[in-house]
Amino acid sequence: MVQNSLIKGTLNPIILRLLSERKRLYGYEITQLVKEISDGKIELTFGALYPILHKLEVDGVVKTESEVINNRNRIYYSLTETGKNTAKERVAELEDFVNTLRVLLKPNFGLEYAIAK
Amino acid sequence: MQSLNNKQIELIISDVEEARITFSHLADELIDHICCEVENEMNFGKNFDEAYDIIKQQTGSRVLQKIQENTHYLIDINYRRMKMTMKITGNISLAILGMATVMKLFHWPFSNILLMLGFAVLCLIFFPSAIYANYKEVKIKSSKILHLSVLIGGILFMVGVLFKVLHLFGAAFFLFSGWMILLFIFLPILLYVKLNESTSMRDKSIVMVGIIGLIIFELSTMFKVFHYKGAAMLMIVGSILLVTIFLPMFTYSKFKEIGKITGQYIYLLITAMFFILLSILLALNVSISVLDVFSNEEINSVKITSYLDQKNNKLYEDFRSKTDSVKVKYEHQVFAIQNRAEMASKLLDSIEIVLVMKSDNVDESTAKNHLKDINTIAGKVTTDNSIMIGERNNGLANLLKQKLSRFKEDLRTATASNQELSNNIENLINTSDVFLDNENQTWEQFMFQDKPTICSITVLKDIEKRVKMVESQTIQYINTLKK
Amino acid sequence: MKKTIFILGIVSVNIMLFGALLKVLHLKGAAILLMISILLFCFVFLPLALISSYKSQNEKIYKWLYIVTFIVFSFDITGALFKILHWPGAWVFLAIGVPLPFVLFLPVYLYQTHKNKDKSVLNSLGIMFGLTFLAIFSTLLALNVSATVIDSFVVNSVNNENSAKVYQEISKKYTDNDIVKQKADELCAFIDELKKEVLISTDNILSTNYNPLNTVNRGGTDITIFSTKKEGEQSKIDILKRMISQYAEVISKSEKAKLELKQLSNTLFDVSNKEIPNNKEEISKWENREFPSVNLVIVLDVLSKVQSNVRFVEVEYLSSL
Repeated sequence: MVQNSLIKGTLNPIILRLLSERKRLYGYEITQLVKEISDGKIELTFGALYPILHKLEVDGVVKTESEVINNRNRIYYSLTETGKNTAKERVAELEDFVNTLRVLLKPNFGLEYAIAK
Repeated sequence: MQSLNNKQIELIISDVEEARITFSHLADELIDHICCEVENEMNFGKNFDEAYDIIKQQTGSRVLQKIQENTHYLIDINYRRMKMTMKITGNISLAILGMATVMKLFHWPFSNILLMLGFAVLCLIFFPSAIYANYKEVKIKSSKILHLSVLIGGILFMVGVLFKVLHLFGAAFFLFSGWMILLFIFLPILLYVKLNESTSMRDKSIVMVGIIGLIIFELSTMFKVFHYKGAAMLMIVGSILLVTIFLPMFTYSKFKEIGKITGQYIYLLITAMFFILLSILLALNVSISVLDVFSNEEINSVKITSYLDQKNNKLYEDFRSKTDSVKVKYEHQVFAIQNRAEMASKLLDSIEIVLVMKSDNVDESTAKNHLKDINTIAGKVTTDNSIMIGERNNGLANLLKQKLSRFKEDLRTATASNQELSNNIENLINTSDVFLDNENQTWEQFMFQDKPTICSITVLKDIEKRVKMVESQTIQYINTLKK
Repeated sequence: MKKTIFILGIVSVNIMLFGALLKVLHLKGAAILLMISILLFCFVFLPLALISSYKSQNEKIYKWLYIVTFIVFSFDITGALFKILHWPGAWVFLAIGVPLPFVLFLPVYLYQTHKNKDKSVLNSLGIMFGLTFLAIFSTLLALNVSATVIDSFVVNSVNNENSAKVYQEISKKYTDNDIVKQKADELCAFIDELKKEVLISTDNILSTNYNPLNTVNRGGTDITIFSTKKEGEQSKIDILKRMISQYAEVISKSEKAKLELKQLSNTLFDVSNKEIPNNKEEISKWENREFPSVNLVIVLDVLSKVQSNVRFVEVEYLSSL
């Protein structure tokens, strides 16, 4: 399991990334996907998911459509036109951040730094 | 892949509805999500009840409400701001109010300013923001009037309380209109809304008893403040409805639902306890303005004393201007009376000074200054038996009693020939025991034991007046004597 | 066990309510009920309930909050008991107890719960309103004095009644039919009637003449006789005021009265409205100045004082003739 505090800022781009891969997703599906792909290391609780989804909707990044499935309403989310760009930007940002982290965390980083100097 | 039947979905929907999720399509999503989770569990071979029991633990109505709250929080910048202001100002105003209360209790300076500040923050910032946040969270029909009425009524009421505490003009108006709005607009609407919301007969009756009890109780406090008749009856009915009927019903239904003693239950009972205790303390107290009666009487005695002082001086002059044998006969008696009266006055004065010095813990000259206006005596309501009563009745009251009897003796010998006058003297300077509440009390006990300082001083001034009265009557009588 | 604790809480609050009602109605048994309920609540219910609630928590993170809750509130409630039953040491409890919820409980509560974001707003709102209410009540209490002060007015009443009687006896000696004497008699008779009415309205038995030592319901009842006014009729207090000012006028117009006496009577019987310093909007009426409270014993005391003043001035006037 990954620490909650580490996941916090990455949820937004992760959700956007998933949405840009699949055409449309509903809430439960997203939590399951994240769990599957991360091999259970990252658990996206529904308490954290829905506020973010609604925020994205209000910001015009995603749009929703409702469908009746198994006698209940299911809300599907998909990216809007502007949302596609936003998703790319956010994912790029995250990648950039991860790369930086990787450099920072290299085991012999201190040594290389000293030689370069 | 298992899928839920209609009945099972209905059950989940009704549970989610209890959390009153109103934000756009959030309720649908939550229902769908819970259904999916349950179906997932059922795929592992559990039946519906087992599966839903597991999921329910993570999806209680508290959790669902929290999700809605977080959604609001993330989206609505106003809501976010209100929430922040509410939290911050709530804590600040409470801290200020708490401090002001303590200062007021000990009569320290600036307590009024702090009190005003605390109230202002509470009324003008915390209260509106709290109501706005609540308004955003529960979207129900007629909630606009509900929230508006509690906002206006509450602010008016709090301003009224503040004005009352600070003795400002218009307190009654604010209190009255605030009460009216709360009682006749807010509470009835609340009753209506809650009745519509609750489904079972039980819930309906709990709501009914609670709100009606509250209305009756509020009405009684209003009656009490405005001195209408029937306040006591209303208060008894209201408090019994609230504490004896509503409280057990309400907490029992919660207790059955949760099955354990919650912190909320404990705090609710503590609040009820405080409510009852503070109410009796207030009911057993009287407004501090009753002390004005003492100062009125003190001023009254001082006026008469100074009138008699002048008059007695003239009477002594008249006596000295006499040339006949009456003067010779009574000269030493008149002298003794004048002496004793003066001594009594001096003794009374010094007792007053000692009393003030002790109760205010000040030096002699400050005590004299405080005595000029007895309302300025800080310890006017403190009782201290050590000075007047002392241990085994060796206090100043006993000394005073002895001096007064000595004075009375002198007067009696001078007025022995006039029965009426000596009766008057006996009645005016009366130091005999008193029978009060089936108990015999000595003069000292009756006049001074367990009495607040301001009362003892009034009594002493009254005695001084009496000393002058009998002095005046006696000399006047002697002056009229013929050979 | 949980059920027992639950019932214990409800029962002790109800015993408290009935004790309080008895106390306010001045009935017997209040003290014992209050004592039982407070002991039960503070030293049985509160610890048991707090321990039970603490044990049933999944995460035991509020240990200090529970401890502080117990200390602060059992201290405060016990202090209130001391105050109500007039036990010595109440002021120590109050001096420490009143600030405690604000300086000890509130910080601990805020510190322990601020980390937990899942706590409902409703909880903290409830606690805030509870504490605000506590602050308002304590302030109101600070503006009040204990009702035992009322008993002190019995002393004043005895004194005033006594001098009124003595001077009335003296005035009887003067048989000449003077206008001052007439007015004084009228005024004093009117006040006697007023006193009787007041006494009857408070369930006092009027077998003998008014004696301040024998009045019952001394502090408990408010006298409404002054404020009740029938349509087109003057209230009793207005009649009283008019008679007092007429009496003062008779004295001040009399050619026989000495200047000093006139001055005295004008200050003693000044029933005019006065301006309140620093407050232009309200005026202070004589009845509000003299009767800041309408407790039975205070009303009677002030009436006796007026009588004693009237008789004194009358005798001073008559004896100078």
